[in-house]
Amino acid sequence: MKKTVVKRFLSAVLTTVMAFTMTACGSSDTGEEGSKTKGSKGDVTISVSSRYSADIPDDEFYRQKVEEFNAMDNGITVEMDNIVTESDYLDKLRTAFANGDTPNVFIEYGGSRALDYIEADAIVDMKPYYDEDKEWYDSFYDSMFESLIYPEYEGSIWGTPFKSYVVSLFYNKEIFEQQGLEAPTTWDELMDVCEKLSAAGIQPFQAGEKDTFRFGHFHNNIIIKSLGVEGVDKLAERTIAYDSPEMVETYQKIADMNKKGYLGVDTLNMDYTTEKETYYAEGCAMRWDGSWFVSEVYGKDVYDKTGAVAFPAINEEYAAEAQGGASDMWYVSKLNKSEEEIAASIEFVKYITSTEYFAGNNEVAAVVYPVKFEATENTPENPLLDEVTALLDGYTVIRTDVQNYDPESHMLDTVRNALQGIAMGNSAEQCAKEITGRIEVTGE
Amino acid sequence: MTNKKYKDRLIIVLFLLPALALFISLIVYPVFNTIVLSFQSWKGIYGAPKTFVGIENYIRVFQSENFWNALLNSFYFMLGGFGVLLPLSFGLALLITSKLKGRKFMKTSYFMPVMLSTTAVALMWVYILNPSFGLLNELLRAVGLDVLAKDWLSTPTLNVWSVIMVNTWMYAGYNMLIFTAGLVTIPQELYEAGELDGCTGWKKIRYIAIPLSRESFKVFSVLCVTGCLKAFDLIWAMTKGGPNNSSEMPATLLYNEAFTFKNFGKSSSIGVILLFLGITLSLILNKTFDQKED
Repeated sequence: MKKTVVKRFLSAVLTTVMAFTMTACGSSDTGEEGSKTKGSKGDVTISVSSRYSADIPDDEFYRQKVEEFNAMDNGITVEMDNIVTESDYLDKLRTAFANGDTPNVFIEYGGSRALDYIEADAIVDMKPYYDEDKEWYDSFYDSMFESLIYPEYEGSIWGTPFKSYVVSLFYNKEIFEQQGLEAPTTWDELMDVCEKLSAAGIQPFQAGEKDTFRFGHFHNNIIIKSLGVEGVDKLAERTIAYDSPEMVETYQKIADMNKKGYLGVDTLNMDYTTEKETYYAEGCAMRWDGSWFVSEVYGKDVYDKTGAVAFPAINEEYAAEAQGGASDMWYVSKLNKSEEEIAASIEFVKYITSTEYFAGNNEVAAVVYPVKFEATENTPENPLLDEVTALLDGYTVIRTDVQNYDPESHMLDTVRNALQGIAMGNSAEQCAKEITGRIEVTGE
Repeated sequence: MTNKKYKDRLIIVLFLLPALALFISLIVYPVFNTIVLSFQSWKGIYGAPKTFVGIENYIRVFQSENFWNALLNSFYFMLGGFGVLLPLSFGLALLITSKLKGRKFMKTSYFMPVMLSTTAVALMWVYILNPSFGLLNELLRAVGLDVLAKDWLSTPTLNVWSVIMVNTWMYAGYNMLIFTAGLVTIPQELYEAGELDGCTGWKKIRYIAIPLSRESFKVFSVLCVTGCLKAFDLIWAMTKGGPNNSSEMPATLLYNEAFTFKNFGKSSSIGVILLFLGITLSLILNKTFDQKED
């Protein structure tokens, strides 16, 4: 009898312990990473998600400034959550929004990508804060707010620009000189240059298409240079279809280059980082990239050999139009957030987008900025950035990713995915069919 | 009901309650929630409205080429499981239950890949299978087999089979233990009796080991089929279902529909279809093995 009682008691204890441990496994982690808590002395802790974890001057400066913000006696503590890979970062962010445990402040890219958050009333309208602090608002170039304003939400501005960019064609001047080539200004000249480089055993480009945004950006520029920014609007309105002859021609350009090997070898097995390393090692003669590349190549051996020109014109009418604008934007989440947290988040965003921040950043990581500021005397010479800035001044209109203007938020991933198929050997028609098939399936 | 019976029943219920609570909260409720969501449209933002759309998500899934491609890839996984993993694991189990020297060392080394994390295995094999500088292609080129040096992870269908082989390498040890558990329960006397009747060598395996390992085969089959249907981690870490959806599995498709395309309703419908398929196939397998036993 005694044995049975002991046995029963032990069984009950073990079952209870197991139940408690399973419950602990299932609970969400709001300890280290989460925000939402008030520390001692009335401090507010907020979580800030970004992609700035790389060992490059730009990202290092950001992290350093966040630490300086934390050291201030302002009652706010920022917990950073930085993930460098775009797809992993977005996966985590979307998971957070699905379960309601979002960061207080996060980076996203504007346009249709943020529309879902706005429609769900998950992010803060920044307009009242801009009205309150005119000096802060006026420090930004007007065009930087383009992807933060939506006609269906007139009178609102949904985020704060943090980075801006323009896509240019970077090339190795030494290789070009050795081959007796000029930097291309038109598409035909680009094809000619590629042919001559290939004949000389030099890889024209080496795309890292494992990261789908590479062909995505290339395609954006082909669209803008062929159809202009009005073409971008027509695509969003579907007055130009993604399987129209003019669009098939844009896919065909990439398919032709891929077939001839101009875009590189094993592009599907190479990521963006390795693509840049290939250029640094002079394994290819050219690459297209955003102006952030200037800060990344700065200090490398190949920096002095690098020049920048505009992405080659296809239709002369649109030669002065380009891909660019505000890229990274800060958004403030109000999903399950207290007023104190929102206020702290706004204060952080103001700090990290101040002219002082950008002037300091300019000393270590020269890029194209979304604000107007005076460069300090500590700002080093950066001839390549001067070239890119001069190009920017020459553009009449710039637009960010084409699908950012699309009402369907899936389109960016849909088009990039389909373009990756071209790297696999799919035809332009297959690419078009894949995109329109997806549009059909989502019920447009 | 007498007092004692009531007491007994109460104790039973109390002991079952924690497990039941866990079962309901971690399995029944999420499954029920998924089934409900599969009939709705939701963009995956907490608090955003969920719109009832009936069976529209299911229709879109069945009309989707990617879904059927994913199921085909899952079928390839099952082919690889039954065609390669099963004989390999069984063979390894026979090896470590034999009287060969070094059995303990073999047991440990075959099981070691199972102990590695999936991400580490995936990263290692992504580099081994790199078409330009990967070890596999370098070895093939070194022995003059350049024609066999392929783009293992970017060529459609080949990329799925490459992941299947990595999966086989990783889990052969685990399945080896399943078969070992069955083999060690076979009494030695049966082998001795069989020898007397002329059952030697391969015949011992064919007429004694395999039939008496029926339960192990059943366990393997059910695990294999359900595992192939829900395969995610290795394929995600190695190819992310790409390039261009060529190595998509039902589970990666489910994930992409939710977190890339923000179609949580359609994603849930894929989950429900997988659940239905998994249960159906498990029941068929159980019935098949039970019939054979009869």
